[in-house]
Amino acid sequence: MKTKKIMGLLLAGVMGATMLGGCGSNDAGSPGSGTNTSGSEGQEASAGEKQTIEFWYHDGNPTSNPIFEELINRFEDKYPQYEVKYVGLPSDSYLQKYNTAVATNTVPDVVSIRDMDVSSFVNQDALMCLDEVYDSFSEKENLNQAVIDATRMCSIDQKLYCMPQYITADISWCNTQRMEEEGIPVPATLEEFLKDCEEYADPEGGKYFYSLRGGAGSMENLFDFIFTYADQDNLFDEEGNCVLSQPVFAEALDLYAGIYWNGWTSKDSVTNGFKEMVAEFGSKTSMYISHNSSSLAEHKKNLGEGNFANVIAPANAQGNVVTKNLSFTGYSVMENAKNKEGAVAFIEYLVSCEGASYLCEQEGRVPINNLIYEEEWYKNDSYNNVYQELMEADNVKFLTHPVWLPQWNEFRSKYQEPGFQAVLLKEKTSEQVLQEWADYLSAAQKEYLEANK
Amino acid sequence: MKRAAKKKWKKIFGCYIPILLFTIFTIFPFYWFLCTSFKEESSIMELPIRYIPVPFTLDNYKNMLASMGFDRYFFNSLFVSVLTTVIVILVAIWGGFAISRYKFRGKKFTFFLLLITQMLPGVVILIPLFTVFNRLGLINNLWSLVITNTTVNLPFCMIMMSGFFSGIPSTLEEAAQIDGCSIWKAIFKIVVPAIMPGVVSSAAFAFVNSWNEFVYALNFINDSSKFTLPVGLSMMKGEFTVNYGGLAAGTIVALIPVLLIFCYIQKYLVQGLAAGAVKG
Repeated sequence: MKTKKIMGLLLAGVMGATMLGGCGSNDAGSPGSGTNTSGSEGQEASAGEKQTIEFWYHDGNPTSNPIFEELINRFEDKYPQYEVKYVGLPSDSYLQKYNTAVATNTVPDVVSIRDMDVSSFVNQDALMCLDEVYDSFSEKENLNQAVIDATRMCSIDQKLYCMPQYITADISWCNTQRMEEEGIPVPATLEEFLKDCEEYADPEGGKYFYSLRGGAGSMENLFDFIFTYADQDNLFDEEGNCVLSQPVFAEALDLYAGIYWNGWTSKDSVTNGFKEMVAEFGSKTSMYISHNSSSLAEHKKNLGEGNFANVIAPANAQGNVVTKNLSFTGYSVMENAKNKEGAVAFIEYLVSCEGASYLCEQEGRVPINNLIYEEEWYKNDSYNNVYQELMEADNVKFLTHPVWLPQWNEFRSKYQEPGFQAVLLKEKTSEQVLQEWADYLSAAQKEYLEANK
Repeated sequence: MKRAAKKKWKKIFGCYIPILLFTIFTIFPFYWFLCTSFKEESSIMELPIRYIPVPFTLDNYKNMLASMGFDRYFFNSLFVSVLTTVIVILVAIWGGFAISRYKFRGKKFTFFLLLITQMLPGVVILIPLFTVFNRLGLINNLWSLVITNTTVNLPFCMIMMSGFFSGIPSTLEEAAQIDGCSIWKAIFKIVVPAIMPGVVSSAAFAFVNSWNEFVYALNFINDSSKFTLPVGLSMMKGEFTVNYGGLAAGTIVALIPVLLIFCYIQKYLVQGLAAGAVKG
């Protein structure tokens, strides 16, 4: 009886403490909150005249949250009239939250946004046009024009709905330590690359030269390979027909899928997404992967600085490399933002040399503000030199993925990824799959051109 | 003697070894998570795989608490799950008793409606619920999660509870009422103890569902300090980075309450209904 009473008291105590803890809204020191406000929705903070700017970041994680907290502190020091409420979101479900906010008209003031997402939000009239902001931005001339143009391409009206901050460049990563040990030079051509894939594959020992990405996000590597092989850098002809149905692409896809068919990459490669592919590289299962500049932090963590390098992808017989056009991540002001003035000030700060430099240095991103290129950290960063070379090389051609098509994300998840897996598993031929992709994309592009006449 | 030995081997191969294999198969992922949570970041990816975390570190737990605020997420989850469970169980006992014992117009339809709610995916009601909570000023408030989780879990628990009540003869509470008990007393002092295994399994169902709930927690909360554990855990996997050590440590922490609950309630789960019914 006594035990029961004690248990009852204990449970009541725990519940009481939990309820108090849950109801309390002391944000102080809570990571990712970026401010000391207690979730206030209005613009006015209780303490004074400060205006709140609500900012959602699409990739809140243990690395990025402290970086934004620091950036926000610096911004608030510079603009004491503003207080930024930062919300870091999980990278694999941020879109759902953005969409819910748009559908219910409960949007924040500023959101971070990736190139592939801009079009769908513009189509929902969710983003504010930033042309005027851009025109009056003091560092306008310093932002990479090609990236600004690519940003404009994301909307039918070619207006600017996002201020880009950094790009991710498609690149190859090689384990220089292992390659030097085995005396393997970095492959300069596709022919050398395929030869290395064959020669250094040891399925019994679980070691390979290359980790193929067959699962989520397989498109970039696949398109880079087949377009380089075909030596073409346009997905559509002038009439809007997708070129993927040309026989040269089937030939290229057969070669690329052959890496899997011949056992030159792990059996798991058919479902390899980003983390599996990077894990294979990080665990030294493979010594060469194709990915983008953003996986630098993972390689540093897994292999250690100095044991790996980023290199430009292998060239085709003509000496050319075709790679995905620089994809950007930037910031948008929501059309229904409560504090547009503050939101504009905040995104200007984020894309300025001061804001972007700190983020790019800390996160290993590739900046697009050329004032940063003069900074010491940038000059001393060997990885950035390769991206610079990639952007300036005459033999590198950029393939623009049609992120302006509202169907683009659907194409990737429902057509391209399952289609490529069907080829790897020999359920469909390369010709069949490429024809399906070409038909889908041609129809979407023609619809876009028609609407944009 | 020969026959006894044969029986012994039969038991070993037919029972013990399969159980052992099944246990290893079930336990190994948990062990792997535990092991990863104590590894240094650089040794997580190392080949050959290390099954013992050497060098041993508690850094993943420290970082998880210091840099991600998991203590906060933990208490938020506990707050939502405990309250949801308490409300669900109280209402499910009353509702289940009513469905089981009383005849009323529309009873079958009510039962059918309760079943229907279980067939709707959560995302379908996300926007309407959001709009309602927004008007009530409950967005960015943990009570919105308590209410939603209660609403989502209640129908199933009520159905379960009505099944348990139906297994108890109504004469039991009638006898109690003849002895001077009110209907409330008869339910809570006589009938509920008899169906304790049912109450416990319903509570476990409600608690675990609330503890793991992600979609509503992500969408109804706009303040990082009010996120729950599943949302916090999903942030361990960035767009281009995965913090395996932190993820493993976070998962272990998230598992603790669920494991403790199951350790405590398993005796109820295996208790027979009949044994409860005849207790004095």
